[in-house]
Amino acid sequence: PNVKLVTSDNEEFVVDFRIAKMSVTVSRLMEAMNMSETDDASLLSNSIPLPNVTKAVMARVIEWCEKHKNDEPKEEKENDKRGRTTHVVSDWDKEFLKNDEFGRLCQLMGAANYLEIKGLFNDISQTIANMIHGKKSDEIAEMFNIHCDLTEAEKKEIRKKTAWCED
Amino acid sequence: MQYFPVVIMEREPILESDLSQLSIKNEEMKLIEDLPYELLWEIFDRTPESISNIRLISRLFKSLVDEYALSRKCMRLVDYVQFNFESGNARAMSVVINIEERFKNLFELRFKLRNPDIELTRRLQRADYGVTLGYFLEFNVVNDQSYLMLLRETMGESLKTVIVNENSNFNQAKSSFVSAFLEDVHFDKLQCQFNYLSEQKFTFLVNLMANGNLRKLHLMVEYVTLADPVESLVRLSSLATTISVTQLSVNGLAEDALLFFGKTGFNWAPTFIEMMNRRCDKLNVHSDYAQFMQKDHADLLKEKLPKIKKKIWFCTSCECYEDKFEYTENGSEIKYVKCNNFERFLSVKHLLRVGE
Repeated sequence: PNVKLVTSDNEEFVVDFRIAKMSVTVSRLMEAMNMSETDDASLLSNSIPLPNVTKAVMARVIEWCEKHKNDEPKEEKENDKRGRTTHVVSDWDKEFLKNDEFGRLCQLMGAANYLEIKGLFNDISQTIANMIHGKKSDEIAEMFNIHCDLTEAEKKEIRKKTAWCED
Repeated sequence: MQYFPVVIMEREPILESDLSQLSIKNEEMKLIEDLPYELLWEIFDRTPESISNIRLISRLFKSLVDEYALSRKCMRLVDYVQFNFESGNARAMSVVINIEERFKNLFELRFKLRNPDIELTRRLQRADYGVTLGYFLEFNVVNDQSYLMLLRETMGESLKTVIVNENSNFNQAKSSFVSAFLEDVHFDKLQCQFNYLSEQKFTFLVNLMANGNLRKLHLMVEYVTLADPVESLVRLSSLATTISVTQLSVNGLAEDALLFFGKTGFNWAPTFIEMMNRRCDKLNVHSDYAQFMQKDHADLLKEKLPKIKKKIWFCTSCECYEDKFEYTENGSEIKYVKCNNFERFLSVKHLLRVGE
């Protein structure tokens, strides 16, 4: 069975029920609208509105979900929420995200968060973190396309204030 | 009847096969500054070593990082915090806070933002162990309260392990301080070493366990002066899922003594079985006096433990059998191992937990 998802820019996506269920948000909405896998009429007569996702972002989200629809669900330990987050991005996911610019990754991250697709959210946030890792502040600023409004003297002062006594 | 907004489509729906033709336009792109704070924090969590550099990107990022670093709900930074009840002074103690090297920048930023005074920073001595760092502080439990609360806030609300070494210098002021320091702090494991385990120390231990919401306890003792050591061990088994109890050697006592946890020649098997019927499902018993586990006690464990209706993991020091053995019963592996001339163990492990 298929489910209709409607984006903020009024684009309709027809996706497999299993893919729709990968999003906790969509699952909840389907439940609230009494849409079930065994009731074709309910699926045909309803669309799921997703006002926080644009069509371009939705397309990327669905592409990711297609690849991961058969993944085993990962057990999340109780302490993981504020515990240390270590997530290994698979080769396919690296390839999938490698050409996305920062702005696009941020959009995708926001969508994954809104749709509550944990695996995609982890992939994106880890990818952004990996891009930042090991870079100096001006390199990160360039990547983020941010103009630095701190002077060199101010930067020096900030470093001085937070330096450890032995550094 | 419930109403849900229905969007009327004028265009044909996009099929999955058309997805690759779509692209995201530049004007639609979102800036990283536009992300909600909690999403930015998610990124910071994953690259804590970059915090100092992210902070220098711009004024906005400096304030974002500072807010993140000052949050009490920071991710877990501390591997272990170790309290030593120093001798010589009724109020003197020391603490070691151990963290992974990659959390150094964030930990130190959390400390400095709360306390910019370089003199106070100097009191906290840093030792570099390669992949981990230790921060060491000697303090007075009464006079240094504010400094210690600063340290507590820096640590955050969650850590992995708490270690308490009382070194025969336990007193009310010190134990009250440790309890207050750890109030509302979550930790997975508690490791305590007591030269003399008294009622007062046992109460302190139980309170720490209840407060920390912990899963693992490692208790090491020499002398036990509890009124009812059996009931005390059973009580602990209701407070943790994994328990390790070690009877350390006692000065002057012969190696063939039958001592374990304050009792000599006592059959502990029924107590261990009772413990495994409580919250505890993993029990590791070690005694420097391995003969405390006599053959009829061990036989009882071999018979009863496989019948417990949960996936247990049990191991005890044991020297009562001549030859090693291994067999399966009721979904559990029962094994007697001689590691070397000194270490011999009896284990009863559910087959799914053999590899632990």
